Amino acid sequence: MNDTAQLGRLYDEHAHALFGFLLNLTRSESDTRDALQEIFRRLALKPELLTGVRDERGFLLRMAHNQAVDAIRRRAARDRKHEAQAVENTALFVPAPDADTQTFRVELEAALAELPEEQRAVVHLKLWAGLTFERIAEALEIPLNTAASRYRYGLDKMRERLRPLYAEIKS
Amino acid sequence: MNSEFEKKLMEQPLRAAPPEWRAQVLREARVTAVQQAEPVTGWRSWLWPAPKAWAALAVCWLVLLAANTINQPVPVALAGRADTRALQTALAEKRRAIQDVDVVVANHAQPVMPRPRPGASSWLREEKGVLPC
Repeated sequence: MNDTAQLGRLYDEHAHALFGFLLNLTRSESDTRDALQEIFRRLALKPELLTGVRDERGFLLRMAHNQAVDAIRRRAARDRKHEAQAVENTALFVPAPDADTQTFRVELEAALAELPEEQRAVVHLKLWAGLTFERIAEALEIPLNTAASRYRYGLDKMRERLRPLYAEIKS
Repeated sequence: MNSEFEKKLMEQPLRAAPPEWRAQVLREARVTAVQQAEPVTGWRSWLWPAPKAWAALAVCWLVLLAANTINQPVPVALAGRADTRALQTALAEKRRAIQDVDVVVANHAQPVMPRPRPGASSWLREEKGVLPC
């Protein structure tokens, strides 16, 4: 398989997961776009980066995490966070067909936004990327116990935040 | 084992990346890769670290060269005949003046007496204030 086809395959298989993860962390579509572009630029420049990598998704999520952290730092330095959020579509989830579910999704996004970046990354990778704690620890380069505890803290905060709405939907 | 709450969260589908991004991202990635993969050879490789600095230096050299060419004095061989004649006249007058000065100096010059070689006795006389005969 040549490099062009390989790049296309990587995009088709992983771009969706990378997009969601980047958008959840950066909360900016333009920063997400830049980060995604940078990941694929590096892959095009050095196709050998993935040689011998067992967990392709985990490797790319690690690249995405590094890019997201850089983007967050750059944005903090420029202090243009509010301006960017005002003009961009930062919706993380697909719009829901019914009002209750849509309200839940909006509140879920808000609850995620309130989490510290390190907890949000772990929660996202566990819930929406389907990674085990072991793979999360590898992707984020943190100890296994740290990944588990960050997930627990993050989930508890979200449960607390969404409890009234969740109870209402359940009943 | 996931709780009911976790399952509820996992059911929420994430938005997909805008479809037009695929072509854009892949095209830009390939273009960048091709540009950076092109080997820089010959004199370009030598200039590559700071091409603007080298260009600025070249402009400075050209300006200096132009200024130097403009301000260069006209060679004597190219000067007009009238100028050469005036120069020769001035030169002759200078020579004459120098000769006149030499004559005046020779007429007023005093014969220089050779100074006696200092010896032990002359040193003694000088100390005692005795003048030589």
